[in-house]
Amino acid sequence: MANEEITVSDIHRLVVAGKIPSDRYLQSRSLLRNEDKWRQWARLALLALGVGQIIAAVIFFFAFNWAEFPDIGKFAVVEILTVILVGFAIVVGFDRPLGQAAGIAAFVSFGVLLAVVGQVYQTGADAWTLFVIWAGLGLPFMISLRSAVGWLVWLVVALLGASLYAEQVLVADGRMVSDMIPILLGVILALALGIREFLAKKQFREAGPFWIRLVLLAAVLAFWTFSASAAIFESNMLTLGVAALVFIRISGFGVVCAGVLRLALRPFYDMPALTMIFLAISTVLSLALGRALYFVFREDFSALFMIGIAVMGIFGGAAVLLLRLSQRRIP
Amino acid sequence: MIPDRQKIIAQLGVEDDGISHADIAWYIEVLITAGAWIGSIALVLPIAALFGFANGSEAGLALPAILMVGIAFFLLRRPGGGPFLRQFASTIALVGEALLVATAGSLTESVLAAAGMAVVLLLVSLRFLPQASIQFPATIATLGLIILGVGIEYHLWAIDLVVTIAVALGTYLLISPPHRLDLRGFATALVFLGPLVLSMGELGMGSELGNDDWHPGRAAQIILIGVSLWLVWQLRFFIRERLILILLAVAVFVLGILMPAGLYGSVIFLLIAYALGSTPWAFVGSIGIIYAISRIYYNIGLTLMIKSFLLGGAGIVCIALWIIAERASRVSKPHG
Repeated sequence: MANEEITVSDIHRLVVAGKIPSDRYLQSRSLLRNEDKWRQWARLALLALGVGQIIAAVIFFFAFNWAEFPDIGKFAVVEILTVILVGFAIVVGFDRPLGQAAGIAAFVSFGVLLAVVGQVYQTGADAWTLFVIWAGLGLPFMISLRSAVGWLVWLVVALLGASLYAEQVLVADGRMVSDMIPILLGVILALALGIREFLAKKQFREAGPFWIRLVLLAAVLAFWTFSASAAIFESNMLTLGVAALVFIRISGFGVVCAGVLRLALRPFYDMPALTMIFLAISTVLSLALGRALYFVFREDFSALFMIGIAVMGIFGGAAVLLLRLSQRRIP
Repeated sequence: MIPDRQKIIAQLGVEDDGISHADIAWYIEVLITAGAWIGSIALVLPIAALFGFANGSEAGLALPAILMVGIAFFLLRRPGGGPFLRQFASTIALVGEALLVATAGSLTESVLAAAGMAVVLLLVSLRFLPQASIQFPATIATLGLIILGVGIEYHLWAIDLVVTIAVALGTYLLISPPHRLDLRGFATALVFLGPLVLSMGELGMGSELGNDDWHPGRAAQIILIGVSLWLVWQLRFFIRERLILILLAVAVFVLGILMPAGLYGSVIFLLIAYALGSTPWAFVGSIGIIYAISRIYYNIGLTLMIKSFLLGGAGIVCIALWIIAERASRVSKPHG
């Protein structure tokens, strides 16, 4: 009894088996495709390609003439662009995708304006001030825009501000060690993910589509995995300060993984999220085991061999577990 | 929407063999691949190094390399085996093949000899190992060696020519797959490398506006335009409106003249995406365009003003085609 579904891989296999002539391959695939969806995609791709190239052309044009531009002209160009974008967003409406896109572009354009101010007046301020002022002044606009993608862009600016502030002020003054920066950013991202999930539960528009959750989750895991991986390879672990920092980073990774695992298992199995979590856990476990085996066997070939077996065991186990979970999607 | 197998099979007019491709989500495949690759490389490298050191010469590497390829053949050619084992065997095959190529290269001290060995091994893989996880990296590596060899021995334009011929062959194999051989990994790699290499080379009529001499690299540009026009011709199965098809062909031709080759290569990605109805190709094409535009900014062969005019011109062509396509869709909707 044949399976009820048919995929493009099945069509390809039938061509390779000689059951469908090669020159009928595209026609055969066309039976599986949603033509309306692809036509709409083609039109969008054309529009995006055209607009993207024209924007690039305008940027290149101004870049070519930038040095000759009077200062007032530089401000005027960016300010007019920002005003046009805000006006367009208001006319189209913040609740429509085009209006939201214009609003986000206006927020980015406002950041460019701040950068131009810094460049023209050579204020000499640290880079963090640009991002903090940008995020701070843009906050009321973002609240009124109510766009999840807009919040994502705002978060990137805010994270840059926080990261640069930590690096240029706190670390420079000796009030913080540089190893704490990924932890700080990881905590901010974890909070952002928590807020997004709360808003999604309350069905607020700001929560945005499901992929926003995946992007935030990937960012949270990336920062904490990086932080925990660096902790594994820390030297002088017997020093009290270093040991405390290693403990914070590894236990923080554990807490974050437990939290997001709970999120990914209920109310349904979120397979992309589970894959990311398993990948993060497998990576950290493999590195920890690798470090331990290297500590025992030193630079012996057997160390590499054992690491190979350990990595295969960890990733293989994760793969088996994931495949089983994917077969029964509902807990 | 899940396509009904029996209905589609009946429309195709073929006999159903009942075999269905078991799809694993791509992100799970990524995890499996990452684990199998890291694990098998960590397992295989000490063995290879041990043989090499024990023998005291590069030729000593040949034995473990042949052994690895042999084990991989055994594992991949036998029926059954899960995705993890498949990736493990693929990695062993690739490491074995890489060691054989390195041995050939170091014994002869010639990049072309290494490229020749890589071509032979690639042909063997294409014939006997249909796994895309072997074909794709093996093709990229082989083409990389050929490019290196050609670049050293000849001129940069020869690289452009080799790469565009590869793009043409890859596109043909993707759109019209041959019988008996599953070459999807090979064809994808041939097309994939095109924009990456071309955006770095000296190809592109745009980059030669000030140069009146015939440049052999222009032959490569013409091949690329030919590939795009052929792809537009293939779209006749989906785009029934002849006028749109003709205008698309004109636009593709004009873009081929205006756009630098790296950017134009990404447009070919988008045409392939539409022809195959493939989301991954559409995604890679979009990323490729962003990458190519950023590369153009740093191209020192052109002033920013000329770059601005080229991109603006290409943008206007796209917008004009978009307006026509929008109008056509509005006209066809009430009747459809």
